[in-house]
Amino acid sequence: MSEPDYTKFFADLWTNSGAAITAAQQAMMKELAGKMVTPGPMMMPLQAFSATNPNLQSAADAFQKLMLAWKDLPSTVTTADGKPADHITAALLQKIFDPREWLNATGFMDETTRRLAEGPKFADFGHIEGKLAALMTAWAELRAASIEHQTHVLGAWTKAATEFAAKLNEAASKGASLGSRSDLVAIWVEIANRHQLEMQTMPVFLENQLKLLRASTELRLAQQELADVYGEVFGLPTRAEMDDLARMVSELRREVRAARRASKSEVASNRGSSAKRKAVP
Amino acid sequence: MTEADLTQANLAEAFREASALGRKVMDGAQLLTSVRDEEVAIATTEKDEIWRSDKIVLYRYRPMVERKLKQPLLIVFSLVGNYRIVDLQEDRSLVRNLLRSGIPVYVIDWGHPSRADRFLGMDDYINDYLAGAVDAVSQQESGERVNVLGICEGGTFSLCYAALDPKAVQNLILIVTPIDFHAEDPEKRLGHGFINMWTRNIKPEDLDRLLAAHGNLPGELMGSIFASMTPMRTLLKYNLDLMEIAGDKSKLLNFLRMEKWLADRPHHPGEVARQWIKDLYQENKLTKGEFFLGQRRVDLTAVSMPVLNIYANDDHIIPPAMTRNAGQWFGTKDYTEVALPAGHMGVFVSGKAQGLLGEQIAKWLFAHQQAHATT
Repeated sequence: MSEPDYTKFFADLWTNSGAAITAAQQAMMKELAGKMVTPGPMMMPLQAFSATNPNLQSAADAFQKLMLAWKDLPSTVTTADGKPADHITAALLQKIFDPREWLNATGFMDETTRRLAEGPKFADFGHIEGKLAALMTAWAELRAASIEHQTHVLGAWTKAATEFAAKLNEAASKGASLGSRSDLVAIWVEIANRHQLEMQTMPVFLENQLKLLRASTELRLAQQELADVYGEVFGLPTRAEMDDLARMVSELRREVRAARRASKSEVASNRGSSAKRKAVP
Repeated sequence: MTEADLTQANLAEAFREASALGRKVMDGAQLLTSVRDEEVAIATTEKDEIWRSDKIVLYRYRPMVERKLKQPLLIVFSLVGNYRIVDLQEDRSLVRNLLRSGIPVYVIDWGHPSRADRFLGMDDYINDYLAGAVDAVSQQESGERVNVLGICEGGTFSLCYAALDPKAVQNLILIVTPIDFHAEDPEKRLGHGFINMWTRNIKPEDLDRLLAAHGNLPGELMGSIFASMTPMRTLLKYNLDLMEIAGDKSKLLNFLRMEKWLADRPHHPGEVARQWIKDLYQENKLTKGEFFLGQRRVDLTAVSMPVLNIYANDDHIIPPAMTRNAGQWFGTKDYTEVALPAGHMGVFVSGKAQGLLGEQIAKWLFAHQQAHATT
């Protein structure tokens, strides 16, 4: 790869492939969410995941292209004079640009909301169609919000990669060394951190974050509703009944604490009056 | 130098770096296998339980030197984290620094709220548990008034308590405490104040649904928000950062102890979270004089005791603007402000700032109290 190719390579790798993947996935999830609200056989939504679904196919193709480009990275990275970079630098760059790391690394919020929502696994299946359909709709909505979240994260990484590549190009065009591996990492960390933080302040990101939180909440509530239906069937206390009990216990404890305080201050004031009495000659 | 020489030099350099890296990884792996559980123990300063109410426990630390201060000091930490950060390890311990200055120290452990605690509100925590702990400390100390030291949310709790019951508090010390929840960082530093943005972005009805679903504000959620505020630090700490310190046992143990503290992220009780986010972060009722605990209005002008307010210059969680110039809201004329060169938790654990923190508090307390009569 000659000097100016750094920019082109990263632009191809992330902008095109990344956008293709997320667009295809979003289309697929939209289709799934749409099917969830359409009356019909229960298995219908699963058609969205069928191998013949063009959206799924295009997502798979785009992801495969991205992974192949990433795998080829070590053989395509060269120094300013067109010679192959040493294998450690190439491996480091490959690690830095690993698409799997990028999508996973800063999806903290995304991952956490999903984990919170997916807590009780037993609620993921059942026979009561209405509750189950609501549960699956909530799940599809969470997935759609999650993909949108990853798109924002990927967008920030792409911007960071473009800036990083431009820096490398600048050094290469001047015939300057890329610096040590720790220099490279330090430059990358500063650039990537800045772009991630900038993304977090964008209204479109905040809107998606709220959507993600709502979707995970609704999924959790749908799971609880389904679990409560089973609870009623098997004679187990429902979530609402447990919460009522917790409320009563909290109120009773509050009263106990107040009563203890009152009795303590009564004892203290009695001690005060007896001390006063003693003081009187 | 010919091109061949250059290539040779590059290869030799690459080989040296790769060998050094390999050695580091091997040393680190060996070190990790030799670390014993007790070496990673945190909050090891000796203490005794002296009072308990529901899940809340009050401890008194055993003195380390002769007592030099008449009135005791009670530490009130936030519900978002765990009080153990003030006694992380022997050489990074606010508690030990205070004990070594001859200050009698007590601490409240809020415990780990579960879904059953979702109906506990700020009124319960401040007017019942905190007030109960202050009474218990005073009783232990023959009726002495108590110095209250509140940290972050615990600082806001302490401030509310001091406003409602000013006679019970001898001196008030606030550390990285949010007071004006709508104050913006004038420098608008990237990554600072994200929690303000996040909490204001949540609609009241979304918060109600979230609490209906989970009961409490899940600790994992708060942990993920804190992690996303320093994205690259979070991403690199288990690989590059860990590799950097892998061969140094002392640094590795510091890292592991901090991780241990971070992993213990309690849930925030539902009703407290509702008030904390709606009344304070969203509506900023405290400085407006509109904040109520039960039937009682929290009037900051009733804060009549001396106040020491310490904040961290690089605090991205509670940006300095949220706490600076707080004296304007209080009734007291004896108000002191100190800025420390650290981040939100760095004030307690960074090598330099944690020493300064203990020093500043001790100096201020001694200047505001008489020496213990029996020393």
